[in-house]
Amino acid sequence: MRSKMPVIILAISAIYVLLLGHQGDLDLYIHPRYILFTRAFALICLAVLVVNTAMSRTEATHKMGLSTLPILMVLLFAVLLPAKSLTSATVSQRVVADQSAASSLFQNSSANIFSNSTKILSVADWAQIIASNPGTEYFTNKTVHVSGFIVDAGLGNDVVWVARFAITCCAVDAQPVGIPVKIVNWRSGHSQDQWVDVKGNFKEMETNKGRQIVLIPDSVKKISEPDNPYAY
Amino acid sequence: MVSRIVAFTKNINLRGILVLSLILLMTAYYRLYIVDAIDASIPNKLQDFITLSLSIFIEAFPFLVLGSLLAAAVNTYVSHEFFHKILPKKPVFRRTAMSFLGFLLPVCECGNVPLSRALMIQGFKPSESVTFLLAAPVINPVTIWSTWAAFSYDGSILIARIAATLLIANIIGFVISLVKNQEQFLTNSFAKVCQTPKSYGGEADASNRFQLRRFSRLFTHEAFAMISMLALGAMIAGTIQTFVPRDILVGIGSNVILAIVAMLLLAFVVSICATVDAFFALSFANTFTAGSLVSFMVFGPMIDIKMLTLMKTTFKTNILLVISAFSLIQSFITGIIFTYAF
Repeated sequence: MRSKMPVIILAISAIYVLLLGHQGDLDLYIHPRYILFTRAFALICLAVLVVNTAMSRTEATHKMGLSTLPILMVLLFAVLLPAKSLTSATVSQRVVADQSAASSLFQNSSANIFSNSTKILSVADWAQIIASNPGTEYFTNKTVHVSGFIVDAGLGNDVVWVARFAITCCAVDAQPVGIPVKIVNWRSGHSQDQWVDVKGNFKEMETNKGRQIVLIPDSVKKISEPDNPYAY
Repeated sequence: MVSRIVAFTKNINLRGILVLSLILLMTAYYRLYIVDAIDASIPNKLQDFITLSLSIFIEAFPFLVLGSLLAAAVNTYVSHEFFHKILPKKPVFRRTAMSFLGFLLPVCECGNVPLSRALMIQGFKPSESVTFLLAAPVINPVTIWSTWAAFSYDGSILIARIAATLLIANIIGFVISLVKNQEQFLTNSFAKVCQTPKSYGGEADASNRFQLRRFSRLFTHEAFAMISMLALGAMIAGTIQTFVPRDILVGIGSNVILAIVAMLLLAFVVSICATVDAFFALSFANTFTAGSLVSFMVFGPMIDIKMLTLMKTTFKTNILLVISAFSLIQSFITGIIFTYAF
C-alpha cells in the first residue's frame, strides 16, 4: 500500500477537482473560463493513473517522508471541509484605496454600464461608476437592485458595504468591490457576511469617511449565498 | 476469445484497480452526500486561508498535470537525439533557442519544472535547462496573449516583459555555463537519475505496451514530485495573503523604488501563474508605477514561493539562491529603466 501512496494522493486530488466541478463549486476557487480546462486535465490525470495502476505490479518505492505532509494537509482540508467562498475577513485584508482599480478588472461591466436600465447593474458596476465620480446628479432617480454580502467598513451611521469579490484568475487575486448602503440598526437584523438583496435609490450623505453616495434601500432581503458569488 | 481475455486480465493488476476504485468511491460518497451536512464553524480568517490555498492548488493543478504529461511524453516517445538535432550546437545560440521552446511547449511554470527535468535527463546541461525554465513561462503564446489583453493600452509593457525575460534568462544561463561541473547544482537523487536515464521509468522496451507503462509511470513520478511542493507553496502563499495586510505593500506604491520593491515582494508571495498574472497586475495599474508592474511580471514567473519549492526537487539550495538573487536584481533594474525611460 505504501508504494501506492503517490497514485492514491494524485487520484484523490483529481477526483476532488472533478467532484467540485460536478457540484458546481469550482467557480468558488477559479475563474469560470478555466473550469473546462481544469476538469479535462483532472480526468486525464485520473485516466493515466488508472493505466499506471493496471499495468504496474511492482512500483519503485517513493520515500514518504515529511515532504508529503503539505499535500496530505491540503487534501485533508480539501476533502473533509465544504467548499466555501472568501469571507469579509479578506475584505479587510484587501480594501484598496482606489475602488476604480479593483473595479477595472471587469470585462463585461462596460456593456452593463451603458445599458438603458440601471436595474441590471451589479454591485461591481455601481462600484465602478461611483469610483469614476460622475457627479451627484448622475445618481438622481436611478433604480438600484444589487446583491452582495454585508461588510462593516467602519463608515458609521448605520452605513455598511454590500460587496462581492472580483476575480480575474482565481480566488487568490480576488479584490473586494462594494457600495455603501444604509441599513438602519443593521446589527439587530443582520450580521457581517450575510448575503442580502437590496433595492433602492442613491443619496449623498455623511459617513465617517466624509460625504459619499450611499444607497438608501426600499427593501433589504436576506438571501443565501448565490452559486456564483464572485464578479468577473 | 476466452483465452485472449484471460491472458489480458492476467497482465492487469486487478487488485490495485479495485483498491484505487474503492478509495475513490469513498471519497466521492463523502463529498457528494456527507460534507455539506457538516457545520464546520471555522473562524473566517482560517476559512479564507483554506480557500486561498486551495484556490492556488486548484488553479495550478491542470498545468501541473499538463507539464507532467509532456515531460513523460518527451522522455518516452522523443528520441534522445531529437532536441539535440534541432537545437544549435554552440552553447550561446543553444540557450537562446531554448528560450523560445515555450512556443512549442506552452505550459505554466509549474509544468515547466518537470519538462526541464526531462530535458536534463535527456542530456541537456543545467545552464540550458535553467534558461528554458526562466524564459518559457513568459515566452509562449498564451502569456503573450494575456499580457497584451491586459495592457493593450500600453504596448511597451508587453515588449519590456518579453525583452527583459529573454535577457535575464540568457544572462543567468550564461553565468551558470561558466561553471565546469554543473551537475554539482543538482540534488543527489536527481543527479543519479540523470546518470542512468535509460533506467528512469523502468525498462526501455520499444513495444507499445511497455512504452505506455513507462509513460504512465513517468507521469506519476513527475506529478507526485511536483504536487507536494505545489501544496507547500500554496499554503505558504495562502498564509501570507491571509495574515499579512496587503495594504502595507500598497501604501508604499507611490514611491518609485519602494513600488518596485513592493511589487517584487508581491510577485514572490502571490505565486500566480504567468499565463494570468497580467490581469492580476492590472488591478494595481492605478496604484503602482508601470515599471513596478513590469518588474512583477518579469520576476514572478521566474521565482516565487511555489516555483522555489518545485525547483527544490531538482536544484540545490546554493544555485537556487544565485538564480533568485540574479533574477531579483535584474528585475529591479528592469523596473527602474522602464519607469524612467517610458
